[in-house]
Amino acid sequence: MWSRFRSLSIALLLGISAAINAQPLTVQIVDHQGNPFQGAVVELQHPDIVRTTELPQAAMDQINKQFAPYLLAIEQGTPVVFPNSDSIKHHVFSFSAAKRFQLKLYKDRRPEPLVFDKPGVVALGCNIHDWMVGYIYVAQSKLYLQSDQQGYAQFDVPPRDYQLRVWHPRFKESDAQRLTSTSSNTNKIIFSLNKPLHPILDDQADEFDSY
Amino acid sequence: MNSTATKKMTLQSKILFFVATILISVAAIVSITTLQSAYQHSTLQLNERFDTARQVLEYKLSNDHQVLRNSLNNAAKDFNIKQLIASGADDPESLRVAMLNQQHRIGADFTIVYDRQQNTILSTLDNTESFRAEQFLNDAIHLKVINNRVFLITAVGLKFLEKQPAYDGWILMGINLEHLIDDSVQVLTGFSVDAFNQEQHLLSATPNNSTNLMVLPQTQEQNLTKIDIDNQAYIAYRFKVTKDDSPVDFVFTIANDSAFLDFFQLAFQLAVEIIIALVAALLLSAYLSKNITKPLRALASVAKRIQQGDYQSPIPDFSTDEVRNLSQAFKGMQEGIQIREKEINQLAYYDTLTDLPNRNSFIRQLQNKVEHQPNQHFSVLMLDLDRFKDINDTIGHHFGDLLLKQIACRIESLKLADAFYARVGGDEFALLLNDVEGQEVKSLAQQYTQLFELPFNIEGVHLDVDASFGLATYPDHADSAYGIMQCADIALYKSKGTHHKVIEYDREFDTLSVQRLNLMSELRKAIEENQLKLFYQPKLCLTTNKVISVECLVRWFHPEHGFISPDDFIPLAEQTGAIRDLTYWAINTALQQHVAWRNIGIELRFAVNISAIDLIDLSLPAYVAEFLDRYKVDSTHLALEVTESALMDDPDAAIKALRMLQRMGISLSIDDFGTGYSSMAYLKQMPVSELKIDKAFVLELATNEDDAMIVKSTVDLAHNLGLSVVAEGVEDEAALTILRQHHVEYAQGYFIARPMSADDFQQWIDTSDYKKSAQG
Repeated sequence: MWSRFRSLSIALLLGISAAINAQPLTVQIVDHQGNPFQGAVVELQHPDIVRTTELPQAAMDQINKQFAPYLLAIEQGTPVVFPNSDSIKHHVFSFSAAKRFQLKLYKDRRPEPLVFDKPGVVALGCNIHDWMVGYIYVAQSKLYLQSDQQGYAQFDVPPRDYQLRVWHPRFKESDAQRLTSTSSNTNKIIFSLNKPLHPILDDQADEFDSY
Repeated sequence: MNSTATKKMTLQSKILFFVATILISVAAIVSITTLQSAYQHSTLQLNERFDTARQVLEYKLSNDHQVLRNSLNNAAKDFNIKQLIASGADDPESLRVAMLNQQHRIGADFTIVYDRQQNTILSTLDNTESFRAEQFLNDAIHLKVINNRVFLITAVGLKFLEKQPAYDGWILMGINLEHLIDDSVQVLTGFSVDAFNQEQHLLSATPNNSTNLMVLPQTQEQNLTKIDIDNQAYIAYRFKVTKDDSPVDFVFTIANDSAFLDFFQLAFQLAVEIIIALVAALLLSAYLSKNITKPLRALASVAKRIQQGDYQSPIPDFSTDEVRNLSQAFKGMQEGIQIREKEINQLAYYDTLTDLPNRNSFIRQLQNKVEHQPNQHFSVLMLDLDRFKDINDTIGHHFGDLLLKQIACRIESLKLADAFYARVGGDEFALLLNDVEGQEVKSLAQQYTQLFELPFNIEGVHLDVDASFGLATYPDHADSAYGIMQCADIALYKSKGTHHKVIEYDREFDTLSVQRLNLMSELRKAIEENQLKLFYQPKLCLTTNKVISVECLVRWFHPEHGFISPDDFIPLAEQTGAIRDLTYWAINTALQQHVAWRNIGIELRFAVNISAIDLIDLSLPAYVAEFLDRYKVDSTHLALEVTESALMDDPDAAIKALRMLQRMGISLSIDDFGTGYSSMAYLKQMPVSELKIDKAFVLELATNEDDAMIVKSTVDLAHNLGLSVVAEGVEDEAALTILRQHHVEYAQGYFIARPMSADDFQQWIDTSDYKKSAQG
């Protein structure tokens, strides 16, 4: 409770200063070979960042026996709804520490949205379709983006010394856990992965065919 | 017989021995190689069985491991398990119970669950051993010893989302090997199984009342080792499970007996088979060898019978070619021996000329009679042709033989008293007159004299032949076959001189003849025992009136019979060959005496008589030369005298022998000249230097004109041939005077001196006027 109150006061302050003085901060994500990496969640964390109050509902759909999107980045506290666009039943669950839940077999019924109020990564699975994997990145702050094709995440934020966190399911643990500090006068950071990426685990078609 | 039988093996036992030796060696080789290879094979097989058993055990463990792994994999994919593990930190008891349930389902003995940071979030083990899940993840068999129990351990990773790259946790389970390695393993492999953690016994899967292996056998891995457990032999095989890095050793064991049961059974079977084969082969070879030796034995007994003189026994026939040939050869041999024995018998007991039985046969007949009918009287009549030698010489041996045949015929034609008759010598026949007791034997014998009354006609020549008869009767005159023959012989000899035709044996005849027979055997003894002496009769040289030579005369003084005349024993010695020894003795003695007298100044030439037999003895010259050399006597001091008749018997041979002696320088004399029939042609060739006129012409020289005439002409003849003359038998002064007139060189006789012993002679010459002066 205490932290929530403090964050609220910081967010108020930030709002003022951001309005006063915002400047661009570009983060480029490259893999260990220097190739730009697309789709990674890039989050800037700072104690002064104020949490968004009225968070809109996000959705993690299931289309063609896949989670869509594959990686959903949300701010902490965002309600997420898990619709089922397929004509078959799914059993969505997560045993991740950030959010353990399960939505037992359903098809037409649209379950109640779940609020993801703990920061962290929530790995989603379907109990009856092992190949279905999806991720919800629950960000601490509201300053997060996903890298574009050139690996860029271009922020326009008040100059602060942020903690930079970059995450993607294909990242190895050490890269995923890494926190990078930025200084207020830098406007470009290149986040290089130290380790090779996990291979792309998109083998749904294969597995499906084999059934 | 026995000793040879034991030394030499019979053919049968040789064959048996040979076959047995071969069989036993073959059997031994076969058994040794078979048993050896069987043993090797058995060992190899056992090794292979152990290897296979090891693979079976490994396969089983690997299978158990795979089953466990699959079960774990299934558990790890179970949504509820995942959920429980994910919330394990919040609700450990739910996880614990659920995992125990899983563990029970799977049949494991303990479970450990790790979170993604590999921290243990659950362990059903009492004490939490610290081991990491990672080392049990691969497919290899992992064994681990915990609290003296060995576990098969497997771990699998767990992902909450299967398609996540990283693991969210691990489940590890272990099964106590006791639950895996049970009797079924023993059934599968046939071995007892024990496991050890280094020296520590962990588990044992053995059948009922089986091994109690508590100590790890110190042996190389995967090698066979013999060990003793509770005084029983076992074969052990130690190994580690492939790819397992734990220190767990497994040991298979099997009782030695059951491991090699087949091998011993095989050995026993083999031994029984070989023994059966051996016995069969020996029986067979005994049968065969008996078949071979049986005919040989039969033939051997036939040969023995033949040896004993039985030629009639049948010779068995045999079916085998070789043996039949042998048997036929025996048959031929038996017949051959029979025929030849008949021939030999004929030759031995029959006279080939007259076909009458011979002397042997006659004697045998007498012996049979004496032996079988000793009380039966019989007589032997011996007949001998008179002057048969003259008949042979005058009309030839062919005629002589024909005459003998005719006589045989005549004897045969007169069969008196079952007479048995035989030709027992050249011109001697013997007749055996049976059953003569009480009969007038002599008149019976007289009948045989009549056989010679008619002349014999031989190829147109009429011959009057006379015979002498000697008769002896058994057992009156002698009681043996030889004795009766001898008696008849003596009677016959007596008959020769008296012309009484048939003379019956009389004991008085004995002395002479027995002495005669004994003399010869005693002559040699007499020479050795010095019964013989040389007597010396001087020869007077009529030109110088001195004695310059002596004739040496042999005298025999028998210890029993006294003086024996040379006329009695010299002819016998010539007949028996003893004359050679006598001559050698005489020469030796004469030379010794010569040397003895020479040493005392009496130097004389010695004349020694030699016989016709000596002349053909080629060793005489060598003998004489040796003695001359031994006594260092000049050959001119020795003269040898040979009788005229001896020379003329075989003049050519005599000339040859005399020449050899002459070349040695020995002078030679012809003795008793005028009594033989000298051929002037030969006389001319004779290498002699002296001629001795026989005393028959000299004794009455003074009174008998014929003798004087003969002496004169003989002396002339001798002188014309260049020979000197010796006159023997000078007994009066008148004869000596006549001889001087005829210029005879030497005179010898009683008028001058009798033959004297050496001592007497020495005495005589010393006192005689005839003594040669010492320097002469």
